[in-house]
Amino acid sequence: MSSPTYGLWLLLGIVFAPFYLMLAGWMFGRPREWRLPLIGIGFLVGLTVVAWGGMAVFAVLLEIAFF
Amino acid sequence: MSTTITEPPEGSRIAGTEPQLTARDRAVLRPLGRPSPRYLVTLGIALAGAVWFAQGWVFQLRHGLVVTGLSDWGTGGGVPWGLYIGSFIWWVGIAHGGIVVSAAVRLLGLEKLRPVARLAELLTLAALANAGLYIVLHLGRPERIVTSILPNLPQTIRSSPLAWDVTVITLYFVMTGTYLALTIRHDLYEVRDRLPRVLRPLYRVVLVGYRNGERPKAERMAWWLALGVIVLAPLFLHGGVIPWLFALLPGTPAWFGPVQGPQFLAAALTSAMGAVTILAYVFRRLYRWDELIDDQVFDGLARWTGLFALLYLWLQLQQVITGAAMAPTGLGTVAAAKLADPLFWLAMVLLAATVGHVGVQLLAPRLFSVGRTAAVAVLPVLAVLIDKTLFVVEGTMEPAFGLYHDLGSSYAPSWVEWSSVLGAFSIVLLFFLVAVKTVPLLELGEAE
Repeated sequence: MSSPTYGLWLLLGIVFAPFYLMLAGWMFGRPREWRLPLIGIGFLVGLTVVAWGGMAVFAVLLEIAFF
Repeated sequence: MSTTITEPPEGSRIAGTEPQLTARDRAVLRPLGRPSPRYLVTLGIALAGAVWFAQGWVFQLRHGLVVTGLSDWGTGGGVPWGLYIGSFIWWVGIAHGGIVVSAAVRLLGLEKLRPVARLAELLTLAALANAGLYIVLHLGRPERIVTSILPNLPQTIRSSPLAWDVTVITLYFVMTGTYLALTIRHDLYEVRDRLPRVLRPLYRVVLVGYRNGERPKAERMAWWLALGVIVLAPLFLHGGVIPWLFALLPGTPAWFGPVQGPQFLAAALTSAMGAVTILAYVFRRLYRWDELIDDQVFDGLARWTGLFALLYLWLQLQQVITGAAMAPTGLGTVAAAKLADPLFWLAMVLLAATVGHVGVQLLAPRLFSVGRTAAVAVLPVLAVLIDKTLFVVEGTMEPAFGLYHDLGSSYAPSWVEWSSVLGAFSIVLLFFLVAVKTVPLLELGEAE
């Protein structure tokens, strides 16, 4: 039995659809303006970096301390 | 309903210095004052729980996963997944409560629940952080999150439900955080002078580019975010990639099948509504917010909890019936194992009691009680933890292949695993103890 290989399409095509809809609503919905949507995108990117960056630093510290 | 809001105590940082705020807003801001002795005692308890958890984790890091009750299949005589993964499912489920409640307020007009929207959003962040922590705990070697999962994501995402899971949980986390940031900016700006000075750099980040007239756009963006989240979280996260993590594994009949998605979702929403109810009750009692979080909130939460618990029981019935009557061998075995387990029946009784309680209150509204509603809300929360841990354990204990069957397998969580449960609660408690002193926990109304 082969393992599924459709993951990328499933994720980026279907599961992420609400996210795309949200971004489109931010950009093109009324009242229309670009400044706050760009700040919102900054929050999305910043939180991703903080979450994974924080975890990376934490993991490295644990690696140094225990392994 | 009459509203009598007591003034903030003398000497607090917020006492009588904001004539433009309503009495309601002053009551909302009351917790930002100096910590009371009760607050400090609670903080001490939370820190003690976190320290106890930390020493358990250090013990595990030093000696490996052998200090848990987990073991290998077959000659190891155990199961590889247990309380850690059960708790992971449970915390992700609870995380739904926040954002779904808040999104429903914005999208479906459930104004009755608006008072607890922000509390619930904060619960989502804390619960998701705990869910991530359980994955780290279960890995044994935490650095593998960074050294193994991340670098291989471009390949594994094509075929691994685990990679999908990590990706979608990250998306859910950042969407929730952004939602909170967008909805709290205005409030933080309004009360910026009374927030802790030490955290000013953090507030500056949240308020980056803030302008006075941005609120209509921010509200609309929050609406679009709510729309995205209310589809993503129930349908594609807890009714999607998390059950797919189990249901796409054909070697484990207890996990297999399309019913897992709806059942996971029903479980998540049941426990989430229960958790929000408990949280709302605790804050109402602590800060005498009887008028701000009124009886209507608890009535609404109880009805939703009852509905989701009923749905959860119904989906359990579907699985038990199809597994008990002339099912394929694997399904029949896991159904028999489930029905023979007293803990399964305990979980079902707790859920049935929740439904029964809501039913009685619907039939006889005079019997409604906020305190009892909050007490009963503990039942479904506990039931879901029990049932989801059983789900994980039975899945690995009763695989379709019979190779190891005669060797037997058993599982009992060790003290290290139980410490993690205590630790997770302590972390949520610490999170709210910090939040209560740093942000308005309820949305501020319009200034007078």
